[in-house]
Amino acid sequence: MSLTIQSRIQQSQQTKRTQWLLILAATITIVLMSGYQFYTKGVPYFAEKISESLPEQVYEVVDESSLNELDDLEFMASELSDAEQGKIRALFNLLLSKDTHGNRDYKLEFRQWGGKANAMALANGTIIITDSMVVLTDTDQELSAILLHEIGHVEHNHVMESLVSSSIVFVTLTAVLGDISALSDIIVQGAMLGLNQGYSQQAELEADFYAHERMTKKYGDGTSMISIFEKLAIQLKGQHSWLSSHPSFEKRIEKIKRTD
Amino acid sequence: MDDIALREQEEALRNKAAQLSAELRKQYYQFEEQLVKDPDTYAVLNYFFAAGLHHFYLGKVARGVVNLVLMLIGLALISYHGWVLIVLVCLIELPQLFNSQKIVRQYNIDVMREILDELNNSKQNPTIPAD
Repeated sequence: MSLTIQSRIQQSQQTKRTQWLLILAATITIVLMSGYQFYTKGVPYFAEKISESLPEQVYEVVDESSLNELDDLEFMASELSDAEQGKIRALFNLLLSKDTHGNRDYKLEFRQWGGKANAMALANGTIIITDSMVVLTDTDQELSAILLHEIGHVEHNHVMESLVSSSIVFVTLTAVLGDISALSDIIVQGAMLGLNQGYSQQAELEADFYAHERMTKKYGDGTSMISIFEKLAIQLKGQHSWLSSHPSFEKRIEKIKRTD
Repeated sequence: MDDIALREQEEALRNKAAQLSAELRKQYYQFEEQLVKDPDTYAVLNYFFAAGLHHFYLGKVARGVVNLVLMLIGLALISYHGWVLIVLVCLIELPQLFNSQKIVRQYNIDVMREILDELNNSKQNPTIPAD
């Protein structure tokens, strides 16, 4: 074989390797970039649009089934007196302004949850507050801060958007990776955990901002939010980790102080 | 150039290769095997057309890099109408998706011609007919 042809073959093999390396590098770059953009921008955008377009019945069913399941598995009946519950419900109704989301069916429920001070919002406006949380609050302002924070979640439609986001990620990754390997399960679960964690922390800050704004309008400032968060921080000391769905109370208090 | 003309060109080059001596014919096929491209691989890479992978496959590195950079800019600015850039690149590249067989055949014809020229220039086989 002539020297020229031999060197051309060697050269072509080298070129082929370089070309495949470029193809591989370009593919990885594009896949990572597209995945990141889809995850951080596409999913929230589509989740918001899809959630908005869901019929009211879906919200009602999600609310009802979530509350029933929580009642079966986690909650116990409240021990607060009817009078006390009535007083808090009156305060809750006062907090619902005229422009509060018109399509949602707001109602306040009282439960016990293993002695934990907690409150949560469901998709259609059902807000659950535990007896321990009521006991932890000393003033109507502190109670209002908690209730307004939960109303903020409903106002921003966080619950339904979070459900839809998880569904989008699950469907997309199942379509891309298939439904056959343990690896795809790990990736899907990991992505959904990451999404929920990131989304949830963002949602908490949005709800805080909403509550702070409404507190300032109603009571002149948001100091009661800070005081109830400080109490919660003491009670839940050491329970916060980087995987928590909520940002740390220190971070939340700092954000509120910055907006004051 | 239409498909029939390309087939005719390819056939003519194959005939020329067949007329080479046994030793040179062997070299020709070794060389061809290394350099020709597979239309199916090109077509699959073309599904990712906006990323320019098919350009890299045919050795058009500069055009591949331009596509890749435009795609990345479009993705990075997706919230600021970056998708328009991606759609634009897709529209420009779309005809190549439908012509992939023809494009690769033309590329392979050029490669075959180059090999035959190379072998002619090596002057090891005076029996290769001129074009």
